[in-house]
Amino acid sequence: MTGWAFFVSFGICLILSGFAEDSLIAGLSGFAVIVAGFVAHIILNRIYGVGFSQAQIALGLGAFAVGVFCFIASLLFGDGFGEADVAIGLVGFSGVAAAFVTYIVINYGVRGSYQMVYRLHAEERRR
Amino acid sequence: MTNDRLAWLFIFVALYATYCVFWGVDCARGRRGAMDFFLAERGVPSWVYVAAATTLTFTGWVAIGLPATILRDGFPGAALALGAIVTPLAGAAALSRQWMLSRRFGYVTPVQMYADYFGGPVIRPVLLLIALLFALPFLGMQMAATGYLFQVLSGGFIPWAYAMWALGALVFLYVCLGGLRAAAFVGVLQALLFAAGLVAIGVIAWVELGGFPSFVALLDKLGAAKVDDWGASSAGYSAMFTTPGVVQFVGGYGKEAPVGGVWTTTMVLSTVLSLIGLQLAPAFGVLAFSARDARGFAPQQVWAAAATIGFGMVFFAVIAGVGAQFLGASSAITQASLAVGSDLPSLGADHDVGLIAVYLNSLAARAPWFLGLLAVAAIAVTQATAALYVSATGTIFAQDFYRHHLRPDVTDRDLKFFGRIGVGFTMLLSLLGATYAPDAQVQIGALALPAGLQLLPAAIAICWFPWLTPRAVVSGLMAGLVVVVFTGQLGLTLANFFEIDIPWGRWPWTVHAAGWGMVCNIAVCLLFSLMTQKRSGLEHRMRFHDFLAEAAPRAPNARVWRPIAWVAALAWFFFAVGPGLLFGVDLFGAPNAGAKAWLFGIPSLWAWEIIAWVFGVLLLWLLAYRLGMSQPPIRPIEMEPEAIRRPI
Repeated sequence: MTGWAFFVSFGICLILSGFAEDSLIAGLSGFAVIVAGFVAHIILNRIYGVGFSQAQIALGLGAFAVGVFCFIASLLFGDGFGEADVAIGLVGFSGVAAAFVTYIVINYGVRGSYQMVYRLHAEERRR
Repeated sequence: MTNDRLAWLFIFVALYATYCVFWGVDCARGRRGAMDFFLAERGVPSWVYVAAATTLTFTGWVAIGLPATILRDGFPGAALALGAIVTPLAGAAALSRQWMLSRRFGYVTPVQMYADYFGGPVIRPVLLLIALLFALPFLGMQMAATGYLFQVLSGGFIPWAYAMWALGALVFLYVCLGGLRAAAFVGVLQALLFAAGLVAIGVIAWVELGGFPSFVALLDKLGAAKVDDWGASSAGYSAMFTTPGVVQFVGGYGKEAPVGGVWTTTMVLSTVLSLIGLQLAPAFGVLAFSARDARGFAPQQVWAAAATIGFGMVFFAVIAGVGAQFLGASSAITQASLAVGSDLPSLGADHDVGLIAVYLNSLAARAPWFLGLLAVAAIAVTQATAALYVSATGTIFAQDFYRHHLRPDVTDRDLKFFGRIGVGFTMLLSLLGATYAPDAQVQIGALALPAGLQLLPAAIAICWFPWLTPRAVVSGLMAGLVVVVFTGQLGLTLANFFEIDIPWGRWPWTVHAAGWGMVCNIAVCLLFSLMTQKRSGLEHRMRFHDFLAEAAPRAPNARVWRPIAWVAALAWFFFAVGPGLLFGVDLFGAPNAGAKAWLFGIPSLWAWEIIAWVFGVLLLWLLAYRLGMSQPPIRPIEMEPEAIRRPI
């Protein structure tokens, strides 16, 4: 929690600065800081020999979805949303998603990741 | 714009407060006993200790005070950044061994340790007095600075006293709930914010100045122009770039001020030594005793304090402090047309502590969210200090006053209750002092660091030298404290009050009160030790030293490395913060010769300080790791059976 409190605070501030000043560097630095927070969490998990809990996964995916939704809403309805802002959002959110997928693939392997998703679908179908 | 700024300020403060209260509540769960409240059951993990101890090592002084000092006094004042080496050096000398003693003999507070080792009726009250000096006026000064910061950042919307009381109440709440455990765990976030805030202030200055090359170009002009309040040295160098001699035999402030600047090498050395007081303060000892093991000591001293925070201090604090001169904070430089911006308002000598506030204010229009976040970072530093000091003082109050003097048979529950009362009283008195007697508080609070330093012979005696006798150490401590009072502002005020004419002012001969106190302390200590050697006393002391000799790690090839370490330490002190600092003034290019003549592309004195910092980190590594001074004991320590039964 401490790590996330720190990384997310600075990450969001940098992202906001990026959007406010059309600064690609500031905005992407913000997303990079959030990815750094994710990596720090993985390292701590490895040190303590634990994985992500269901609540943590739900919170993470929820926050990501809210972020993407806000970005799309700003893109559609916000005034003065320039090219740099679009680039920040697209590259930034893609980067965060890529970091998550990379983690899954490294941790479970390509086949394992695919089977994990496939299993979930199979369970849903059975239900 | 003001609304934006206030909104972000409140959002971040609310998030921070929620985090603190969460930890307070979480640590209070499960009906934990007094030992958990006081020492977290001696189970603070190493990484938590590293973070919390680093924040406590530097306090708000670094975050708020150092850039302001550099703004006022330039590169000579920047030598204080080498306190990042000297302060943990004291920890390397004493903390690991004190931790071993606390494990073996069951000490909860350093006061118990000193009282048990030295015996006699004097040491305990003197240590309580020093603990209170840190807890009340020193803490009150820092809390007041936080309140002032909040007032400036809210555009005057929140008066400083209200802000200070509200932030004090937050500290009280989470410490009262969770004790030292909560203070230490919250300290992790506070440490991260502290490090990031220190870097961020430098980055703001860097950006405002137009990048590093632009900053160097401005320094080039300033070096040639000699525009500042202190004038020029005999060599014709601007006082901002040169150290005003080894020592100046002047009466001191109030009688005769030094010429060409405050920071003679003697003043630098004695001031930097005074920072050792932070590590020797009883509160720091309580935090060290709470560590689960000794694995955190070396990384805290070498990598967290000296390397990381030291880097922030020698680079970013210097850029923020000196850079502020070119951004409108110095009226002399603005008038000489050397300023490149007017982002900062002109700060007078009395308002230099507002430097961080005005830096953050400069963000209000462009990035109010960063204003909110960095304000919390600045607040967090002082809150970390406050939390650990009030927690430790509550512990000392319950253990060394209530339990020792009033009720030795107190129950666990009552002891915890009185610990909480101690926390409450400490917080209340420090805030009352800051609100209603700020001048007195500043004068008394200024004694805290020099008074803490006076514990150095006592700490060294316990850890290394049984030859120093209890009477000698206690006499030296008392003599040192008296001299500290009468070479500082408080002594002069007292003398004035009683209409006594003292022939010197504050800090005579450009030696800080801490330095005068230390000289007297050591002289008395050595002299009395020669005269008061007794066999029976030595046997008592050897009980501790025999245990340390058995438990402390032995470095391979110690016979080779020990003399090397001594020589390296003495050389470092001489060249980095001692008379050798003078070589740094123009060794890498004369200050007025321009950037092209500067060997490293920066002023010579700054380059010298950076090199001294690098060698300082190496020296600390040598002592803490290679010589094993901060390494864990060679085998697990079992508590002495007697220590479990007896209340100390």
